[in-house]
Amino acid sequence: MVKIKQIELHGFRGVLNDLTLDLNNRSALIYGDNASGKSSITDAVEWFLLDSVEHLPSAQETGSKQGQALRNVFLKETDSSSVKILFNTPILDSEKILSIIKNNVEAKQNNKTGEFKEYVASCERESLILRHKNLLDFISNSKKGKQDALFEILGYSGITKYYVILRKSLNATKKQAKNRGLDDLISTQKEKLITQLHTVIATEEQFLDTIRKLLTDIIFDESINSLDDISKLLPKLQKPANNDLVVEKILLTSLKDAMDSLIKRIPNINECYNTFRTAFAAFASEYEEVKQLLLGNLLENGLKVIDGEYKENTCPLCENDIDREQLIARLRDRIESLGTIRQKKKRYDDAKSDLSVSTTELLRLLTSELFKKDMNVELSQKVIAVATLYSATIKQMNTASAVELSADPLAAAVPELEVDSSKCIGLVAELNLRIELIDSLLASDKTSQIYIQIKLAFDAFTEMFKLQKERSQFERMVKTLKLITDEYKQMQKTIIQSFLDNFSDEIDGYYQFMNPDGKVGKIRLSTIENEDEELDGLRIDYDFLTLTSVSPPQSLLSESNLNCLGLAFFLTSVKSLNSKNAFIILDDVVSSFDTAHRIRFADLLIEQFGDYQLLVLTHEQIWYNHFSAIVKKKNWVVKTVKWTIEKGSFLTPSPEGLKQRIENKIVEHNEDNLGKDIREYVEMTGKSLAQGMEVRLPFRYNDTNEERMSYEILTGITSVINKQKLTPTGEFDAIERLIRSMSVGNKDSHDHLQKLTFDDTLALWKDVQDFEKLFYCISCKKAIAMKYYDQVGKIIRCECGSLFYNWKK
Amino acid sequence: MKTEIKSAQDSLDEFFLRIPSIDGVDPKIVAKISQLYSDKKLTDSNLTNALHELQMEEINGKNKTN
Repeated sequence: MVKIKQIELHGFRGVLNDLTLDLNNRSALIYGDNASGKSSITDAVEWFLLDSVEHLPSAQETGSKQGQALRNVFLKETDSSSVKILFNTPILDSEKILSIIKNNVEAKQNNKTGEFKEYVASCERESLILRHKNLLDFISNSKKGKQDALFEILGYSGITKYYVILRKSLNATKKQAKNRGLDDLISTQKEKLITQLHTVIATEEQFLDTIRKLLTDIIFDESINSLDDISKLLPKLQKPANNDLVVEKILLTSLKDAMDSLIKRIPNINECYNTFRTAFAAFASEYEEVKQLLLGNLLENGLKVIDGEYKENTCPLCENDIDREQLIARLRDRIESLGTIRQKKKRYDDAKSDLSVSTTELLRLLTSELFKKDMNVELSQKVIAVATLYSATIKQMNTASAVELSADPLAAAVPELEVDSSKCIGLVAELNLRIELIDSLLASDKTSQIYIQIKLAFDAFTEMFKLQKERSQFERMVKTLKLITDEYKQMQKTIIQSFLDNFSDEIDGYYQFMNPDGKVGKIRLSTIENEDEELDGLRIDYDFLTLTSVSPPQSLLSESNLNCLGLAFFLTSVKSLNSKNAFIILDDVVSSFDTAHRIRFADLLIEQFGDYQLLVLTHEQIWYNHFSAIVKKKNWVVKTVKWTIEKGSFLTPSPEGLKQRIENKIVEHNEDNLGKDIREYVEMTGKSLAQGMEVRLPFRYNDTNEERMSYEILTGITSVINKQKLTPTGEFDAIERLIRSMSVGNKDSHDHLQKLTFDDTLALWKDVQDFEKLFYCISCKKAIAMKYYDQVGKIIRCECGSLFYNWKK
Repeated sequence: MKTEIKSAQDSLDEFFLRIPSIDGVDPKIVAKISQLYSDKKLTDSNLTNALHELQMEEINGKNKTN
């Protein structure tokens, strides 16, 4: 099973320089304030393995498209950002680099081996990361949202995503087929065929047969076996003598057919336009609501930001203090309250879409070549004039449908418009008269009459054939998409039901472990379907004290209980799905927990996930203090993430690491930040010692408490030493020397670093070592602490007891 | 006896491998959908475009033979 040895980030997300997390296959507890960038580690692992970060924009696209969001904002364009992960299986070690090449962010994974590709593909199949956001969605959403959130927790979100794509595509294809009006278009061509051939034509064979019969009237010796044969035949039937009349008759007949089609469609376009005007007017009269809808976009985008990277407990707009979780809940409520207005907007959008489709179809007809053929006769000019008039009106309608609601509907007038069909009707009558006249002139020319008949019938048949193919293709698309979507629906239900059937006991087990009070009886889970038999939510039933089958969960369960349930789902999926990886990341998952649940959750991880490599990140200091005390004994790596504008996010070094760095610098005669490192070391050691010795310092709130300087801490320690009257007194002068040191003891020196000579720095380090010798045992390396206090001998000592002092409580 | 639970990825891979065998589906349409999925490009717009292209090929392609 795969575990992580080391994670190294450079210029990635919050990390500007370098952040190296040495794990050596061990679990880790990482603490960091909100916005300190601890989640950069989670993002790095997610991007490295899955090529995208779910909570970032364009998560559905590949990782390189998220590149700009992944690179640290202060990174130079010429610098690459990178994530390097070393595993317990060295063949999987790799570095993934994000570089800007010709203004594009490109991602490159260094390990190209088949084993690595196979491994990365297997990661997509496992539950590896759980974030606070996943749990929050699960807690606060409705039944449908809960289902989506659960899918997210279980790593099943891709399943919902593809169902939405297939269903959308099915609906869009159905709508497209309907709007195209293929049935009407085919009927029109059929009518033309009847007019020309006086019979119903359904197949190519019937059509060819009818043409052959027509040709017998003029005893034409030509074999007609295909549509191509008809194409070849037509020029042979043309007679130069009556050619102008023939051409005119064909054109006028086509125009008359087009006009007939227009007459049929005019009521529809007028109706579409009126419906749109009414919908538009409804919005114009409720402008205040429309404004709320505009605000909706702001609220939704705001929610995305606040529910994502933003971690402050202040409103980002007004900057007033507010609990972030409360703000998220309020935003959700306000967005939900916009539902009615959204329905109105949907009606408006539908009317707009229908009008747009109708106007486009009619304009396509009116701007076709047919209406551009000027035969230089009065009648064709009239037709062109009417077509131009209609086009202008329909274009106006089209323009009106393109008016954006967001641009103050009151200001945008939607004019009253109507396509007047009477002009068309009058023109059709004139066309009929002219056609009749041409017919009478060609009465004696049987061949020309048959040529016209065949030409018009041939055009109608080929058009009908083309439209029928288009229709049958639409039918195939709709049928295929429907069959696939239905099958998908079944697959989706089977997966979730199978998970619930198989793992209800485990889920319940984890839940009960975290809730030992016994108030909640066995939790039962089942799926909910809507009238279309789509998976429409998740039902959670449970017994509560004397009540049986309580649902929904939020009716009696607290936020903490729901958080437990979400965690129980994730942990179950880890044990059931993960066969390759033995590590999981839990990023801020206790934020919605009360203290009792946090403690039980820590116990659960230790007791039941001891074989796993757990990377636990948190900003909850009290829980961190509790959990770190436990996991330090279990050999976990315990780290703190901090952020500064110069370095971005970084891991604060351990005292051991810092000491090693200082000693290396001294050996190398490297003065770079040496004094600063020593001051930091004294501060770190002093704090740890003061805590162990229970040195009482004046009360301060959390943040201020963290900022205590060496001077205050060392003075506090001295005060305790003096009070205890420890001997030999002279040895404790080392503390005084340290306090007197300008570099360390003066509070100002922390902020305004004073330049020390190398010799000064060596002397300072000697003082620090003398100070350490007083309190740190050379055998067990542990400092004296009250937790080792000997009640009988009244001594404070180190862990092994080699170093001790008389101590009165 | 518990059945083995499939991951989302396994379930999806299996589903898109299986769709050509669903009774009554059009093989060309299914092939397009499967291709988009295996290329990790199955999105609303890509599917709409692919179906439109297929429709144009069908209508114009067959007409040429006539």
